[in-house]
Amino acid sequence: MGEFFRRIYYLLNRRRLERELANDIEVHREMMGQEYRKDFGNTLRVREQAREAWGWSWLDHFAQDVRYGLRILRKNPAFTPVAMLALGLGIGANTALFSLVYGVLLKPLPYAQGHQLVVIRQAFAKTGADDVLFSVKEIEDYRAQSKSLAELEEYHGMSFILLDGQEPDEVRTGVVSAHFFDLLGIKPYLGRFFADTDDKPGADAVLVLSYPYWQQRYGGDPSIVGRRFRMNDKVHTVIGVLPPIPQYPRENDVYMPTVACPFRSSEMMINGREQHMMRAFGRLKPGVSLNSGNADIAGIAARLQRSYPAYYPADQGFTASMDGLQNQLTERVRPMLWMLLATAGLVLLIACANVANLALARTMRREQELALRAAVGASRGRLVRQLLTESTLLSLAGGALGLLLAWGCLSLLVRFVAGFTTRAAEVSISTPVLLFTLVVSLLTGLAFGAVPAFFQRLDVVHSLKEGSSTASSRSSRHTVRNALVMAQVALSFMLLIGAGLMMRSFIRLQSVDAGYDAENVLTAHVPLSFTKYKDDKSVINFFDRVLQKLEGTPGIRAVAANNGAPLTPHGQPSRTAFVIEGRAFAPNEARPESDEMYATPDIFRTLGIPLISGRFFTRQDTPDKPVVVISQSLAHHYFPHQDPLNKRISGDDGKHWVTIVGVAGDVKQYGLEQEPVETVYVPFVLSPMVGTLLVKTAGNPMNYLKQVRDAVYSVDPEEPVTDVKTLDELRGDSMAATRLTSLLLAMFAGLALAIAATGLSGVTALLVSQRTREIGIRMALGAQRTAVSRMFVVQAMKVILFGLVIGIAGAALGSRLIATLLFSTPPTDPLTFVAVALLFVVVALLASYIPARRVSKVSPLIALRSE
Amino acid sequence: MAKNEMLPGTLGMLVLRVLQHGSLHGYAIAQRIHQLSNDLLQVEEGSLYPALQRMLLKGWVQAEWGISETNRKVRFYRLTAAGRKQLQAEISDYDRLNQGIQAVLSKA
Repeated sequence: MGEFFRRIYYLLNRRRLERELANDIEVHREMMGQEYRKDFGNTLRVREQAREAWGWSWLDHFAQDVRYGLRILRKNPAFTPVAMLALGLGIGANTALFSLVYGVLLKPLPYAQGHQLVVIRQAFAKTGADDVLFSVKEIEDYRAQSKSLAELEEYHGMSFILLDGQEPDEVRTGVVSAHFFDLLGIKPYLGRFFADTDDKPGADAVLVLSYPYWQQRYGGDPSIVGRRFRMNDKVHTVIGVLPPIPQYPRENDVYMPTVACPFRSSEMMINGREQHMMRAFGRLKPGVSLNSGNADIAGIAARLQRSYPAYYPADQGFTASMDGLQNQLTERVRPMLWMLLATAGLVLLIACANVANLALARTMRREQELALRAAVGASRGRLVRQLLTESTLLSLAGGALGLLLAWGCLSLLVRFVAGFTTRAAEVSISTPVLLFTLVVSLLTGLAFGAVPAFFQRLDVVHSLKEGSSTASSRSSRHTVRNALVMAQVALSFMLLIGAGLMMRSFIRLQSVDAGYDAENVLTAHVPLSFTKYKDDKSVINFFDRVLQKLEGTPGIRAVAANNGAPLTPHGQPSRTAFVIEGRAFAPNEARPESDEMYATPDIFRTLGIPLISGRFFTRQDTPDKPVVVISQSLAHHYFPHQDPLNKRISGDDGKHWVTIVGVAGDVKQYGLEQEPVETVYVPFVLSPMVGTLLVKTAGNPMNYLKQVRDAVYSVDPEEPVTDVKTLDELRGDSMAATRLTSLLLAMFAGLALAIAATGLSGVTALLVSQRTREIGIRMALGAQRTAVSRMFVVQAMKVILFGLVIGIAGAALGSRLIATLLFSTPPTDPLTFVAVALLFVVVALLASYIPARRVSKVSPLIALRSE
Repeated sequence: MAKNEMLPGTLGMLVLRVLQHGSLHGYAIAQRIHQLSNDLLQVEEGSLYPALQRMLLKGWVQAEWGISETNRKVRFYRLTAAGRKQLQAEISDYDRLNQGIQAVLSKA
């Protein structure tokens, strides 16, 4: 048994060994006493000295401090719950947000060597197209030429209809090359993943199901492997199930190899270098840095540009680059999460300053107790340790409360980030989050504990002599307290400004005129089976019949179909380049570009899009006399000083021309915060690439869902109706991020304001109680009560105004950091600043007036006797 | 009798030395040192007991129950093998130190 273990043994058997030691010394004394006939007094000191040799005294002292601290905290029913609540809210906010930041941004990807996974991107830098997808040819080139990548796999997302004997189901389908899952380092939950033989032309179609889809649709049926489903008019056999892990780049229901996708395996896709459709993912070779990988990929892009100038015109600046997968997946949510965590940090700082102030006031009242302990032999260090132990106990209790709060609101927050990143599912209160909370709690305790420990006079003589502190030490601590209040005011003002700016953005966003009338419009997605509806005629026929059925329904005012409802999150922009008749374009010159909206004629009536000039197209506009309608912004851009009506444009360099017959109002198709995109409306008889039904109804549009479903099923019972939403819902969803961010910020800011207000009120109350004697004298000499209370309010207001000035300066600087999150609101929006400052002054006046009013209850006689 | 201060660090050696011939309780250790030093050395309990605790932790002595001359149950301290080794080491250290001091005193 080594010394270390003997020490542990002494720790564990402390009580028994202490008794034995005491007995030894007692016997020693007795025998000495017999010899000398003397009494030697108590043996405590000797016992303590001997025990120190065991090396556990610090533990005893610590336990003593904890016990004493707990007793003190229990005995302060006014202080402890308030401080605990303030700290709990502050720590809780930080814990909740850190669990988001950790789960989404910091935690390594749940894939083998996730840091080596990269996303490859192509861009035509000079045209602004910064995320050009890959064609089959390009994938082959990168795979063959790359020196930095160990593997390169492709992915694209599709939507197919799966027929399994139940209701037809539209399944989100990931189409991947054979080793996509190997790239990610995932092992199958059931069965197997794709092999090279599954991805050869002519191979039998196979499927891998995602874990949630297998659970929801097939109840986790263990005999699923081998089941056969019909998709795209082919039999597909299930070969495996994915484990329950987050899927990237998006959540899919099923996965199939590239040859099973009717688009990907078409002649046009395989040979068309310009058919950009796929995403490319790679794994860096071990030891290869992202920088050298980037150089490698950019080199390949440069070679492609030299070899195929027809596909990559020099003036379009074709480039390629790579980025870490983790970085890529969290790009959208990162600035928001960091901002919210920083906000939570500020709330905690305010709570800290507040509790420090309370604790300082409390130690002042304990001055005599502390002096007494010092007098009977406690060292300054021991007293400081005692104070810090108390504050740490308090902050740990606050941390526990915070953890509960964070745990309670986590599901709400997860739903919040789910709209931005697929990593949301990985958010939980995990070990690192618990550690974070523990560390934050400890640091918080030390931080606010250090203030009273540092500023408290801990020498014996003065405190005992005076019975209360001297004027000079009182005033120095007063400065500290004022500084703490100022800090709270400044910080909470900054938070309020942040929240105010976000709310103003939200209000502005809400009142944006999106260019269409969203009231009472139902939208639904009808993704026709690609294999069944192969030619334009069958698609036109299908939608004509569905629309006809709905048009006759009572309560339905207008029906239309197009390729995407406004503000739908699935809106796939369909871009086209065109030329204008009579204007010359050099062969390499960039053509004008615009969105193409394919729609049935009633789209304008259904969405309430205004006609600016000319006319809308109608059913009488047939393909032999092709016409289009353009949006106002397009008209302004390309026909600035002329009438666009009856001008002709062509999407295929002059082979076919269409006539502009009307100009329609602009619609914000992709986001309320974005400028409307220039759009050409193409009648669907020219190009029936539509899949969205829009139904304008007389009452609540959701009441007409059954009619819409019935109409579709009566035409073809194998086609699903999905993504049913009202336009109002879509509009609301598009603002969800801004709404939730401003809501959270407003909550934080409100919290900060409440904490700061209680802090202010506490300080004024203390001031009043300390100066009771002075108040008595003033009133005895004839001062009015109101004048005396005004004196305290004025004093408090001075501190607040100072804090406010600092806060305004800080907010003016800090609000620039959130400028990117704001919508048509400048970061120094004067209205927000003035309104918040006014709100602040009102709250501060109330907070200081309430305790100051107590002055009026003081009777001069009692006041004079109080000290 | 005037209290004679001991050279720092020598108490442990003396304790170990008096335990060499058999286990003793605390008071007996102090007494033994006192007698053997011809009443020159007085061992205070305030230094004896901390020293004994240190030696217990180091594993140089072991405590076992016994009965004192006054018929009280008390712990007797016994030298262990490690203690014996330590005693040898301390004695030879002390000898060398002593020789050095003597050499300086006689020649200076």
